Amino acid sequence: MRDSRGEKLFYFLNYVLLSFIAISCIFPLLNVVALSLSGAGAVASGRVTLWPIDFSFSSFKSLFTGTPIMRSFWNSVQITLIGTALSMLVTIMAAYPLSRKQFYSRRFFTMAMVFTMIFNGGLIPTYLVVQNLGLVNSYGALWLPGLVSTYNMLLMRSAFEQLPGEVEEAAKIDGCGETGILMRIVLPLSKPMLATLALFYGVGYWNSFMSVMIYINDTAKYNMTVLVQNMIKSTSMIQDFADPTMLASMTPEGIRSAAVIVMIVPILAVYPLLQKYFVKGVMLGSIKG
Amino acid sequence: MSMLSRLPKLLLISGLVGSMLAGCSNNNPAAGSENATDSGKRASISSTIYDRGAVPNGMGTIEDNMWTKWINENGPANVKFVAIPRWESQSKLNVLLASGSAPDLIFEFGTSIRNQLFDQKQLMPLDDLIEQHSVEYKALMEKYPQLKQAGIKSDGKLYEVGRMNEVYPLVSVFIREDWLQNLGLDVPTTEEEFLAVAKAFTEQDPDGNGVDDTYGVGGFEFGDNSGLFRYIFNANWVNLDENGEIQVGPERLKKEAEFKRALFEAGVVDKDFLSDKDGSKSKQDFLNGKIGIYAFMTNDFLSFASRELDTLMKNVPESRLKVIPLPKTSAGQFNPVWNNPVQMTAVVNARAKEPEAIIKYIDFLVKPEIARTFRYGIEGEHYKLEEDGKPVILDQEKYKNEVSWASDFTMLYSRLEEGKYGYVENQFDEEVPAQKEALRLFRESIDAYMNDLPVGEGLTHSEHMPQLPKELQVKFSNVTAAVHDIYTRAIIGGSNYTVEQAALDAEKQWETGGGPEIISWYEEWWSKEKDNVLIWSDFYEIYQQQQAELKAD
Amino acid sequence: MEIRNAASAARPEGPEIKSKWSGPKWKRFKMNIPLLIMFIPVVLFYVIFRYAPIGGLVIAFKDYNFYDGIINSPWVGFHYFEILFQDPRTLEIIRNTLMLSLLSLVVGFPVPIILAIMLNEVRSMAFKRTVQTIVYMPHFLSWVIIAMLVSTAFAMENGMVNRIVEQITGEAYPFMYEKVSWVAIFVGSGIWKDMGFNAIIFLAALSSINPNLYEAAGMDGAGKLRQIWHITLPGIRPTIILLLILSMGRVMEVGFDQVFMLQNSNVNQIADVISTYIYRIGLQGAQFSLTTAMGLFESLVAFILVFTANYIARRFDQGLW
Repeated sequence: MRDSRGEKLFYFLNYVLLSFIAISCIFPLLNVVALSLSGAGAVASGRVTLWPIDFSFSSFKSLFTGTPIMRSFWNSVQITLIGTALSMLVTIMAAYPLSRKQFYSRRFFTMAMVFTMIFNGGLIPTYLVVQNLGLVNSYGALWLPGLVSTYNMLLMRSAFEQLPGEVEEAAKIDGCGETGILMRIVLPLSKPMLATLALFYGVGYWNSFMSVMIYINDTAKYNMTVLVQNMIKSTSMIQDFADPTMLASMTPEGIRSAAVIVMIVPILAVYPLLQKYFVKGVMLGSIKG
Repeated sequence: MSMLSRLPKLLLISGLVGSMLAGCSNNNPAAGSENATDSGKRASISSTIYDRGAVPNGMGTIEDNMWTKWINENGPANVKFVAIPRWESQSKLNVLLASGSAPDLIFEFGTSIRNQLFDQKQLMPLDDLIEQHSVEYKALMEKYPQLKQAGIKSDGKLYEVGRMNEVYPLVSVFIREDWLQNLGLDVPTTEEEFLAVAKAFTEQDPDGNGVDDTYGVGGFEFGDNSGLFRYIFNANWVNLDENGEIQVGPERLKKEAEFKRALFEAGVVDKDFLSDKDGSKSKQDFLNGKIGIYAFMTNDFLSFASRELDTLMKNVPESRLKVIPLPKTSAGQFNPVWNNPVQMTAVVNARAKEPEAIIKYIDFLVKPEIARTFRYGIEGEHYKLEEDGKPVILDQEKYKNEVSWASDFTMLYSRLEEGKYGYVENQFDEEVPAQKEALRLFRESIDAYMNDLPVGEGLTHSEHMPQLPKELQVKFSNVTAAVHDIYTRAIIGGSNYTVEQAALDAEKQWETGGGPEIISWYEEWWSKEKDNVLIWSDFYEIYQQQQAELKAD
Repeated sequence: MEIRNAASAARPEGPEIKSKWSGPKWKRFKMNIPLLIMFIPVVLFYVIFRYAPIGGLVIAFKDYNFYDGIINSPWVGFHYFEILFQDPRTLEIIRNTLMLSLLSLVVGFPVPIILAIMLNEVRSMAFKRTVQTIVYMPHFLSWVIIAMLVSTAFAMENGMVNRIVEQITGEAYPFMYEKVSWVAIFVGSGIWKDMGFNAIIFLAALSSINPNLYEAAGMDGAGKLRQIWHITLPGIRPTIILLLILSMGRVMEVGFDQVFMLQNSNVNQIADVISTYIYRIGLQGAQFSLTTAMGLFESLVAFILVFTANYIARRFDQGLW
């Protein structure tokens, strides 16, 4: 099909605008990369912009040898993978019944859930609940209290509701029960939304900070966010004047940048895997197949 | 296409998850039982330890490592450590205490956090315990009655233990001596001269590079330099007047704002000082040789040497720094803030089961020969003592890997009890050029600031200030923030908003924002407590005492 | 198999479905059994981790301390609310919070939608993927870093923007210190940081629109913009409305890091918000009761807004419940 002149203009403008946006977004990242690969002196004196000066891996080196970052990296992976799987599972278990028109009291349940998005008990009451369940100092304390994000659940429910009714009608005729419809029709057809929400949950778990810090007492179980935050922030505490030499060789900016890279690379690596689900629609293929 | 084929996988995952959950929660109750088997008689206590994420790979964790093992082998009790993230210590302590699971011994630098624990009735009074069970700390308290004075709370009982620190300037003001020479100027001694020199530094191309790229002075709002003008004018909210009476309110802030405004209008400061959130831009400018006068936090001259000074010497080899006394002003002449010599660092949880063992453990940590271990390591392995008692690190690499991160175990270590090698002056390694330079600057800073001029930090070191009652504290926080904003607008406001107007607005804000109540609270407190509160003149006495001991040594 | 058309994509309740549950009660119950079983853990989760802690909100009406705990701390009634609303600054703070977040919402809400549609119209897969990956990255940078970049860009001396401004007007403009430009920077930086990440949800929704619809529209001679208006937007309307209602719940929230890192004394009259206020008073000893009172007030406002929004949406058959 040939494009009309109007369409050509549209596509051209679209490309230009998107390129412009993309460039504005990539600058800060280049800056961070450059900082992480520059010498401490150059970083401290603020000469680094988009290209490393006095190229050195020292920030990464001190990050990897001077701190238990690998251990916390694996903790982060563990927290994220299991947490995401659990959250997705229960979110589906919440969203699917609520998306069914014949489900009892779906209005009441939805309202009750939205209510908890707005009212929450705060840090200490939640901690007491977690403590009474014996979850303190276990990853259960990270997974369970935040198991279902009502926001994500509503998005999923809305995606389920938008599926065409004809499809499940057909499944019914084939003799599928509710679980059958869910597993064979609804989930495969909702892959873009599932991928998106898995990403949202995953990013949330990957970046979790406050919950880890509050609930986990065993520092060997810390994830990367807590480790890195703690390291950066405590270099700038002034109260502790009595003792010197801690971390004197690192520049906070350099370490911070290196840590940002280490934090962000896994997310960027996973992204293309999920991306394929929302780059093009999957619906047609799965129904016809 | 069959979705059902994926079902087993899903089940497998959830089963796995289930077993992991169980695995994790099983770990919980084990905590207490580990130590119990060690010996029948040894008491078991628990203690916090700051976590700074600084334990190197392979050295274990901050709560379980060679030093915690060493403590458990050599100390008087079995100690279980609970890591407290340094940066978020308040929230972590809050949940631990609220849930009744806080450790027995709580180390915390933050005075307001300790005060809050006292308000919440979470602390155990220690007078009798120390009287009955302590040897070391009791002796230290007899030697330094100030330790006792500082540890007493408003009900007259002792709740806090701490350490004695060396008194030295916490902030030093550096000027580029080479710039002064280039322009043929003298060290400024009054506020007028300060302004004139800063102006010359800005306009007369002091570095001779032909480009107008220098500032007279560092940023006003954030970072190391931000306190400078407050110290110059003693522009604080709570002060001691000439008659020894307490004076509370925003009155003293006006002169500081006027001076800042004069500097700002003269163009000697970066116009963007307000957006330089952590002062890093200003600091970078100084380290790149673009700023003439800059105040640094020199709480730790050694790390100042290895970071800032070293960077400056490499970036700008021709630079030469000089420490200058604060200029005389119409408000008087002052010193920048000093180190707090009587630093409270630990409290005991009211619910602690074995207070006697805790006191014994405190005693253990107070002993110089024990505390030294966490600073230098094991004698013969990490350091050796030279004949005159000077500790020398044997292997820097090993020291860095095994000892350098352990210093939070020394929160009860009064270093000066070590004699002369506990003093900062004797810590420098003159072989290293930056440290040699730092030693020179340290001595200049002592000469410039350790004298009987008042310190421009109000009544006393912030760690010795009392905690206002909750509601007044809210008002005070709000009104100080509002007044701060008012004066900042006056600094950059030009003809739209003058300092005079700001002073009126500030006064109004103070009156309506709870000022009178706050004043009367402080006045009442002062009339009751003035004999117990340690103030700057006390610290000066301690300084003189310390120096006398150093000379005698 | 028949493929749904754009109209049915936007329609939440189809008549076909309705006919299914108009049968006898027992049939409905039978169909509900697997759903109910599935739903039990969900109910447990909400009861244990969401509703049980809500009881802790009573400390807004108590003088909470650790020693007495939540239950035994003494009642003080509306004391802490009085403290809050007697403070002359409180109203200013609430006004600022509402203003900043409403502006961010009004200006910021359409941006990810537009971005997603633009990406959707890209035909080169490689370009699409690259751009998509890049625009989603700023979400992962902390506000410390972004604030640094923003203040460098808008600096009075040697700032990128002001160098251009100086060329034109001959004088640098204090972007960060004038209220209007500060608000623009605040809103703009927030949008810039999160547009790529927020676009993902719309991309996912877009991907379920049937491409045949565009083909058909193209055959009929509809231009690109008309296609977007008549096919794309209706296709993602439920998602848009859902997110719009939910964002009402956040109108009393302005992210702490963003304000804290961007604000300065000269604009604090409009930049001091609830989160910075709580930070300030919380810094001096934990004032649990007071901050809970503030939080409760925030929640009440959000509650009213969300329920109103939902009520309006229901009028158009788009409500959440």
